[in-house]
Amino acid sequence: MERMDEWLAVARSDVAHRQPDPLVEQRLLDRMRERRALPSVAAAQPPRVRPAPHRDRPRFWFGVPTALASAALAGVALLAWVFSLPVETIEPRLAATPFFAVVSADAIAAERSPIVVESTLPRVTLADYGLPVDPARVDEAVGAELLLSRAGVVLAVRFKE
Amino acid sequence: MSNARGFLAFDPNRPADGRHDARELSERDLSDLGRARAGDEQAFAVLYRRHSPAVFRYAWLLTGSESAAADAVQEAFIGLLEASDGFDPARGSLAAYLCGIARFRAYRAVDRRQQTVEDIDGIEREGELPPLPLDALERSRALDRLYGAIRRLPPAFREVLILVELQEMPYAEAAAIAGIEIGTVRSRLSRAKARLASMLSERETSG
Repeated sequence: MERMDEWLAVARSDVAHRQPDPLVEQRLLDRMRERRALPSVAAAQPPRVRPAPHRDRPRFWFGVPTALASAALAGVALLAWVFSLPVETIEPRLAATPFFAVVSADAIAAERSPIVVESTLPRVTLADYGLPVDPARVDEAVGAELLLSRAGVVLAVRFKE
Repeated sequence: MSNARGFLAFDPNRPADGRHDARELSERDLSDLGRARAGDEQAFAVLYRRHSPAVFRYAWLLTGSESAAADAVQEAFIGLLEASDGFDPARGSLAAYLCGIARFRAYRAVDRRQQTVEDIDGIEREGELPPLPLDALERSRALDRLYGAIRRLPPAFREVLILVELQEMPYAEAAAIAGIEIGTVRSRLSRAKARLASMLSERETSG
C-alpha cells in the first residue's frame, strides 16, 4: 500500500493544478447581470405617455399657457441659478434606508441567528425597492447591509451611502 | 457544524498563523454567499475562486472530460445562486454542497450502464505496484494510467477515493457528499485502493 500512497500523492499534486476555464466564471457573472437586469430594466422604464387626442382649439389658445409656461421656466431657471442645483439631486443622497424585507416577515421571525454583513450592490438594485436611481451613476455600486440567515439566504436589505 | 447557535459566533481561539479553520471559512462562505445572492459580483467572484477549483477537479476525476467538468462547475454555482433554499450549513459545508451538485451533474455525463454492471462486493486481490518512473514523460504516462484505472473503478469506490485521497476531504464530508456512513467510506476507501493497485499491477504485467 505504500506504493499506492506514493502514486496517489503524485496524482494529488498533479490534479491540484487543474482549474476550470476562466470563461465559466465569466458566463456565471453574465448570468448574474442578466438576472439582475431583467426586473430592474422593467422597473426603470419610464411610463409611456399617450399623446393627447387632437381637438379643435380656439383662436389664440396658446396665449395664456405660453405665458404661464414662460413664467414657470423663468422661475425654475432662477431657482437653479440661486441654489446651483447639481444634476445628482435627481437621486437624493441616502444616509440609510430602512430595512426592506426580501422574504416574508414569518421567515425573518423564524430565523434564530441572523447576521448582518456589509456589501455593495449594483445601483440598479435601488429600483427593485422603489428607490430612485440616478441614470448618471447607474454603473456605480451602492453600499448596503444585508440581513442573512445562517444558510446564506438574504432576509432583508438596506441601502446606505 | 452541528452547533447551530455557536456557528456564527466569533471564535477568539482561532489560529493566529493565518490559516483558516473550518468555522471561519464557513462564516466567510455564508457572508459571501448572501452578498452574491443579493447581486454583489465581487462577493460571487471571491466565492467562486475559493471553491471552483476543488469542484472542477472532482468532476474532472469523475468524468475524465474537462468540458463535462466545466459544465458541472457551472451548474453547481448556478444552483447555489438561484436555489436559495438548497444549501443548509447544518448538513455540511458549502464545498460539500457544491461537490454534491457537481457529482449529480457529472454522473449524468458518464455512461450510467457502466455504473450498474460493476460488482463492488467482490474480494479484492492485492497487487504489486511498480515505483513511479522518475522520467517526466514516463511519469505522465503512468499518471494517465492511474486516472484511467480510477475511472474504471465502480462508482461507489471511485468517489470515496477521489474525495478522500485526491481532494483530501475529511471522512465526514466525503460521507455527506456520497450519502453514506463514515464507516462505509473507510471500508470502500480501503477496497478501492486495493482494487486500484490490482488493476495497475495487471496493466504493468501485461504491458
